[in-house]
Amino acid sequence: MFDFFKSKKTQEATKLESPGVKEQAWRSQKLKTSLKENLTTLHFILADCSDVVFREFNFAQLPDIRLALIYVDGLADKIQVSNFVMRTLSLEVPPALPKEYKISKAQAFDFIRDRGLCIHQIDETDSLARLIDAIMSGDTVLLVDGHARAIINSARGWEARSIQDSKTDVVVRGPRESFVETLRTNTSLLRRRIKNPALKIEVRPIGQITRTDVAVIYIKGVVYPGLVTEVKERLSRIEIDAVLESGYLEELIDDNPLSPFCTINHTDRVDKVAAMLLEGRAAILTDGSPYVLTVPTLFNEIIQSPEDYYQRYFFYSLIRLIRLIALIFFVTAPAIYVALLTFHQEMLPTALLLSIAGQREAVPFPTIVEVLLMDLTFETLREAGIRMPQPVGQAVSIVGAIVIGDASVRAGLVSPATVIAVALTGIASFTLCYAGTLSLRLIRFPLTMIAAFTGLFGLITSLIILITHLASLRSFGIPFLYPVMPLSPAELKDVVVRAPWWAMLTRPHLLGKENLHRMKAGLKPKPPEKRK
Amino acid sequence: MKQKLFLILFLLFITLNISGCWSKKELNEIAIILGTGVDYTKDNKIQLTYQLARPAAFGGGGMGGGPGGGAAMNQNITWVISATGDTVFDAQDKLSQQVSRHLYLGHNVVLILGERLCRHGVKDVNNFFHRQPLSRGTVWVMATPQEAKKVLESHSELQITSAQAVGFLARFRTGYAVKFRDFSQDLASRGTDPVLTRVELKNQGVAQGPGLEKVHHHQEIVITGTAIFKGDKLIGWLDSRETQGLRCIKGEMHEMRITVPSPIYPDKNISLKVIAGNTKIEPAYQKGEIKFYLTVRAEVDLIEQQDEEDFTQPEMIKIVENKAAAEIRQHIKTTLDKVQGEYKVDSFGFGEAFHCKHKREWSMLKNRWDEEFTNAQVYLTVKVKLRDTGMQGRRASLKK
Amino acid sequence: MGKILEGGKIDARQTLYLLVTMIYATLILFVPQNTVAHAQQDAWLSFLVAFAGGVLISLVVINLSLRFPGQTLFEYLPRILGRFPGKIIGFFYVWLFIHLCALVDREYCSTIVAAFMPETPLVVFLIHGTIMFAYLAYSGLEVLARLSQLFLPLNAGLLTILFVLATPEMKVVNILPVFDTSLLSLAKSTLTPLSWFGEIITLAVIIPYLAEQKNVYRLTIKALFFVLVLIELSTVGVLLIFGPALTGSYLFPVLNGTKMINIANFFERLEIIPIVIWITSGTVKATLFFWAATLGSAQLLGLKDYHPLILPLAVIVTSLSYLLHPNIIDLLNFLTEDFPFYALTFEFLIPFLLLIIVLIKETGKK
Repeated sequence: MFDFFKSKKTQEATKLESPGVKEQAWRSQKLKTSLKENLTTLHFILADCSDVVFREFNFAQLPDIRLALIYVDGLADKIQVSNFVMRTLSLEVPPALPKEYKISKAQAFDFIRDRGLCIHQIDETDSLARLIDAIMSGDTVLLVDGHARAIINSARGWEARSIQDSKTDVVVRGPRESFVETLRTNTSLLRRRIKNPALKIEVRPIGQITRTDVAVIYIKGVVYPGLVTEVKERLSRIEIDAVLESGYLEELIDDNPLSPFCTINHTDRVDKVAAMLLEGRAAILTDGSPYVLTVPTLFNEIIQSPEDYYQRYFFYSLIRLIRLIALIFFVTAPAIYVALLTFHQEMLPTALLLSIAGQREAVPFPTIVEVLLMDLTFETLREAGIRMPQPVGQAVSIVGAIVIGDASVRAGLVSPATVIAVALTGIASFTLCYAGTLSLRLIRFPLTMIAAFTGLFGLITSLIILITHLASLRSFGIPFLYPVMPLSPAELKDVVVRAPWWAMLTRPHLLGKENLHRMKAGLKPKPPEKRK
Repeated sequence: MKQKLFLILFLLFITLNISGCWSKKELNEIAIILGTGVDYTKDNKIQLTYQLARPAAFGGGGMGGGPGGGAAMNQNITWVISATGDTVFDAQDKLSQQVSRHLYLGHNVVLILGERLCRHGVKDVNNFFHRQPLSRGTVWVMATPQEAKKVLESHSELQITSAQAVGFLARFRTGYAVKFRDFSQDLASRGTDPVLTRVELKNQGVAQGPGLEKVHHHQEIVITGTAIFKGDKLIGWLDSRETQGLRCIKGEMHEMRITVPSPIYPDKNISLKVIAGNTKIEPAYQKGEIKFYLTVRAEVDLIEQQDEEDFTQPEMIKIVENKAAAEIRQHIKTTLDKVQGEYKVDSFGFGEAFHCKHKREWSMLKNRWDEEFTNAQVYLTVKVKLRDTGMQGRRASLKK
Repeated sequence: MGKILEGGKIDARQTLYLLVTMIYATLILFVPQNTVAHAQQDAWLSFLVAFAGGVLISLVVINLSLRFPGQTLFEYLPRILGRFPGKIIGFFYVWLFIHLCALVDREYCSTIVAAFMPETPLVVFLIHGTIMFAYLAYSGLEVLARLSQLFLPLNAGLLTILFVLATPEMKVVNILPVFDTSLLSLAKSTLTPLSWFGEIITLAVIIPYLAEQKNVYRLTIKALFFVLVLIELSTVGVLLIFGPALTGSYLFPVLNGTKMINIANFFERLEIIPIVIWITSGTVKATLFFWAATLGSAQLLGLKDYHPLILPLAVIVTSLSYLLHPNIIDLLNFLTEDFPFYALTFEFLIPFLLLIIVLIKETGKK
């Protein structure tokens, strides 16, 4: 029963063996000289992979130089492969050569690599592992008989989703593109925004089975010093069979695995990631997922939206404040409602109290049950709204609104005031950055319950503990609540309000200390005669 | 270790919370008290009266009751209950045995004290309202020549309950309104004797409506003046007119109405409203003689004229200002004569003013201040300024 | 020299906030009533005097501490007095911090019970409080400093808002006449706030953890001044609302003052604001003392880590705060009658004597 009193040693997990590595003894092997042998090995490794195509042919119609093309059907661009590899090597090379020019078997490899291929990017290797990885990621491999090396032709081309609007971070004004599932497309999207060699993209495969490409992206000279090393080190620690989504990585490199709060944010907006990089952060792209991790993450990102920076700052400073209030409301509204109604009735204005008391007169549940019931219903509805097949979604919201909002009040099961309190909480949550609200949605329930048991006192103590917890979190070395705690008053210009661009002279001090100044001072537009 | 500590703390925290519902009171477990009355019965006991709100009458959306605001006819909105006991709490204890819910004092609007109690002395009862954590200094305290219980057994035509109605009356300064805080402060002070608002239940207006074919005479709580205390004992009343004088001396003239005779047409009047005003009390102490110089400044608006005085003439304004000053002076004189001359108490805070100016002398005089004050001379200066004349400059009918 | 038990470093601004929160927390809870009871409407004057005394104490404490860079009070006590007597005095200080923590805990919980939840047993809130500051102490000084950075601006803002909202209820005549109090009662009224200002002794434990130590004097005086502003704001505020007689009779005048606020019949019943101020600042205060006690005992016992001491000390604090006083009146009497002398012995007398010993030793060396 008291498991947690036992020493940890007994529970120590057996050291994880690298999954999938056992049967892959060939990973360390090198290519052989003989094409036949190589092909046999490859056939063995790729046995029962019906999508792998082996194509043998002769180089330049020369019977003694056998070539073999290996690629995955569907991943490689078939037109490129047939036109610019096979057609060139077998048909177009002989007429282009002087008659007396003889290509010996020994020269063949260098000749093909240097003169024979019309492929934009090639690479060569002698490692079987690299070869297999290349085939599996869509490259086309060319083996030449008599050479223990292979040419990797980057002629990838597969069906992919086209670039679409962001689904989670919606803006009225601002770029619409969002990331897609293909890593290369994603990096190109970023490169198009930051046309600078300082934008570094370092790719590494993670996942022993899936071999997922993971890219660490940062801007050299801007990124927070030491951050890239730390990110790479944390990534290299990972030994896992599969990485299907960036969420896998998120949990594996998190600073605070036991905290309900996620200290790594994710987004699928290109402009947001670019802005993050420009603030001195690093981004982690995962092949196969449009969601990009940005580190380090600060808590204040929950009230920031890319649109804040594109629209007029007066109004969007107000929106920031509204979001801040919404954040407080979202976490505490049901709890405060319960505490006030069950413990501190003296703190409500008389008229309001009488009105609520009148509504509650016939309600059969205690306030806490009423609130939790409504809150759970709300969460259920929200979940249903997400999971429902699109055509039915409409029906859910209608049913939800009618059944929950109206019928339950009419039936006298809940009081209208409770419906309002819970509905406001729900609405408030939608003003915030979706990724950040998940853990807060969870926190709301214990807070409400504590408020129901010990009133405002318990609520405030719990909030203090919550804030203490948040204040003790760090995301890649940066305090999670920065710049509020530790307080850096100048930084609040981008937290509680959004300062105009001509006043946001510096990057966040802690993150961007490598290259603090964003712009020249004194860019505030002036009438012509005052300009110098 | 870290996790274990955290877990232990967390478990303790949860256990504590789960078991901690002592102070929990659901809304439908409390009886909201809106008005409190205290009387002193003939057999020298304390009679406590509560006016309780009946929440069901305040309407819940779609629950049948009237929609918010007004309640339907023939439905009880409040429930007035009373009990007697040796102390206030003793009486409340008896009440709580009769009421199915917790008596909740947190929203009490008004505390009405019966005349018998006031004459006997209020010290016996007001401590209860100090010690109650739920009681507030903002409660309006009033005295009534009737029985407090009878006053609370009423309802209001406009407001939901009569307690709230009389609270609003006090808030809008129809008389001299006294908060519990002011009352306690005056009770504790040697330089000021307390006063209370005087309320009565009176036949007031006629309720009209499609359902009210039979003319329905209605009784409503109204403010009818001020109660003057010596120490904690009531010694007399001021009527509404004398209360105006009290307000002038206390410097709370805001919204006060003054009607002065017309300077030109002998039997016509002019009505003015005080917009802002203050009063300065300058004490002087010369050879054992106490003097007070009272300076009242008021800014007034012209509200109504019965005849055709030409207010575009600056002289006319001067004249009316002087008339108004004289009227205010008259108010003050009447009140002073009554309070200082007849009741021989200092309800105005002259003692506090004296204390501020003459600290040394005060320490000798403070114990017999009321006697000293009775002999004090009060010199009056009243300055009135006419500020606005409403929406009209001169009367349309005024011939040039 | 000393082992690094506490890893965190706090910067100048954090120190300022931490010190202010530490002192004003309970100051605005119990002290206005007591000071007004003695000094009547001249209470604001006694705070000025107490402030001056506080500055004096802080000068002694800082001067002493800066002579032993990188060491806490508990580490340099044995160096001044010799190993054994030093440790004994050190344990007295540990006791002082434990006692202070227990008192703060008790003050808050008593307030909650008396003012809001009379039916709930006191011990429930005590345990609540203990869990809270045990968890906070566990998070370390750095997090505590960060918390004070959130709470102090919040509380100062809320206090100002309360003051502004209550202005319609205020009457200048309530604090007149000035200088109406005899010197004796003024001196009497100064003692309690002075003992609160003297809590600046905690600085002797914090100083080694400051990131830069050159501005400590200025910083501390700034902190004390800020405390003065806050306490004057609240005391003068309640005096203006209630006058000296009523203020002196209420247990928690700031709470009663808040209850008087009524703007437009809707901005009323704002009692939640003083609760927030009290609980947030009180938590920081109790935790700071608790942290000082745990750190001190760890250093005196020569432990490598102070975290294991948190739980046992938390239990001691909880039971102490429950057992020390049978009721709130006893607590108040202790705080106003005996506490100043007891506290000032530790806060002023001992540091002063220590400083003299150090100075004599130094001149002897030369």
